[in-house]
Amino acid sequence: MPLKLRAFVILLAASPPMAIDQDLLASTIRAFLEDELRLEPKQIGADTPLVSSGLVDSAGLVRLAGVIEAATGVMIPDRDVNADNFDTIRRIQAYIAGRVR
Amino acid sequence: MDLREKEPPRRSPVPRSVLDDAETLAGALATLAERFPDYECLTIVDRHWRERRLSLRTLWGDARRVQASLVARGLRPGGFVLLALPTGAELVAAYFGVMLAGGIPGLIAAPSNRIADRRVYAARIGAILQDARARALYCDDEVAELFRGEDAGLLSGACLLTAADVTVPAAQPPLHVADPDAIATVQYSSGSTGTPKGILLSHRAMLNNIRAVRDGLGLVPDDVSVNWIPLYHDMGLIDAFLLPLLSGCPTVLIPTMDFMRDPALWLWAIHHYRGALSWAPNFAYAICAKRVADDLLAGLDLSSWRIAINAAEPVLASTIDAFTGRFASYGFMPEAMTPAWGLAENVTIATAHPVAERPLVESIDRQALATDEIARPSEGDGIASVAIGRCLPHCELEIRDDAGRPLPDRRVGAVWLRSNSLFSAYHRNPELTAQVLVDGWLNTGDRGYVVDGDLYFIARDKDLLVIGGEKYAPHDVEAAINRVPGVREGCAVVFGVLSEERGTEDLAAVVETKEVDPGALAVLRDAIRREVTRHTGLGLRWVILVPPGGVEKTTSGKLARRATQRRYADRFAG
Repeated sequence: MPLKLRAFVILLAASPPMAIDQDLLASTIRAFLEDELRLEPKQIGADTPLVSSGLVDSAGLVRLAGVIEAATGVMIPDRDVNADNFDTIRRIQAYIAGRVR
Repeated sequence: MDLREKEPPRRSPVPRSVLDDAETLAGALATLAERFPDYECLTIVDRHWRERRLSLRTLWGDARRVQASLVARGLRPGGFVLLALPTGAELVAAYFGVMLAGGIPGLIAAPSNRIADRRVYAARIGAILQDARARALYCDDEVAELFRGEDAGLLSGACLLTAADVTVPAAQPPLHVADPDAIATVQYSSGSTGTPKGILLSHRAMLNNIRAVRDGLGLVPDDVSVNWIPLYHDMGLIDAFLLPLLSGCPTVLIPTMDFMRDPALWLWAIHHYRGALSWAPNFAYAICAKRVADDLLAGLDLSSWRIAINAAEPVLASTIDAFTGRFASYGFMPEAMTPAWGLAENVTIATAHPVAERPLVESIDRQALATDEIARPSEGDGIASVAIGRCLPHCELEIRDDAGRPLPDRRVGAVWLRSNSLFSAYHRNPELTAQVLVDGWLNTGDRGYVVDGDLYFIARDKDLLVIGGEKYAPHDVEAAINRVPGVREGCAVVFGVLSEERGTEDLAAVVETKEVDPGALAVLRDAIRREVTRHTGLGLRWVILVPPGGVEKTTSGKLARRATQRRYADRFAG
């Protein structure tokens, strides 16, 4: 794992699960996309479709869920790993916030 | 993760004679369960280190309940039952339960593994159910939901079964005693034309292959097996599950999705259970070499790992170097890396590099390969070619030219295989069976060459996509592209472009369109990516839009994927 992504994961993991920093979560997702999927982070807005656009394939989606789970400590069941919950950075933030509540 | 509180599996009480004497898969399990009921042979562990251990008594009892439930629903000997379940105790019980009833189990991927769109997945499973005339589909609730309500017709009369339907029966039906030459399992594999082929495997063929792999690798019952590869894949079902289980080895299984989320889990499971044997496609070694952070590996000890099989997709010298280089300081022995080669038509592998010897890599001359189809050793800037093994017991190879004549060492040709573990037939497809099975020899569809008994892989004969060890039909991907408005229908080709970085192939498409406006082209490119991911779960790394005539075709008008790939080769660099 590249240093930048790992750094974000560690930072996020250090914050308590009840107070997940949404900006840090977004940065973590962008760092993942930038590295693993070779996407320009500037291209990725909060509402850019990731899965339904074909930018992220099913294997990439599963890896992204793994990174977010490790970083936030929030359990993400396999059946939740889908485009409804993970299609945009904003949706991922909402999903994680919903799981914490 | 604190692993210290968990005990590694016990030593094996099972002698090798159990597998030697077995005539059927269910018979082997019956013997094991009768003689060693308390042996906790199977361990299932997930990414949260939740562990479940199954004794042979439990496994047998679970399988008997599945048997009773299926018989009660009308399953008769020879009936097909499809299993769409993730790796776990339920799948293991279901697989054997079908066989105890005399049925033929066939494993298929759970939706999360491959397909993005649930309705596309349901339609695909429906096509397989119909083709197999399956009696039942055993799946989890998530898949079952897809077949309830309006999509119930997709079942084609197969009954739907989930864990909740498997209960303790009032009366246990008798065990079916199978003939060794009866079909034990149907293995589904993508062909280049689209419909998955149902590869029928007999008990005899499966047991022969399992014994050949055990003996070829020198596996002993105390070797601990640790694997995450999917069980719906031939290498998963046979080599990660049946081979160790029936050899009496402690068998550790990790659900595939858990590895995909956290690749370091694989390495830590080998560390924790003192794993000796594990199988994976090349891309998984590349991921571990390049994508796992150093701080996640502190304290890792891989010195127990005796056999690390690298198979199911092309083995890259660069991946071997990256993996062995990075993990040497964690105790990984360079001679543990074991390239191997096989195919589902031979049950699993037919060749493996000798265990305890370092991988063999040679450099061959590009020009001689391209123009003369000769693998001539090269001194300078050649192609790194990895030996993918020598024949296992009872396997025999021949490299043949297009006229079917055997070729000498270093000449590239079609790889033909003869063994005592060849498949019986493709289900309901005698024409295709006759095309590949000729006079007891199998045309494997791979091209390669041999040097002193070592096989080297050059290319696939067919335009099959192999990405991350999984096979995909180019036709399926192209059909999705052809449905996008703006695409010249029938004028799209896809192929794999090797990525040394990812250790597997990236997906590329060349698509004809009459559009010329840059904005419209960008919209079209997005639409193509969207459709492909929806239908296949795959992401298109490259989408090259070209004007009419840009896609190469043969003189008879068929798509020429390789020629198209060569024409645009410079566009896929970097």
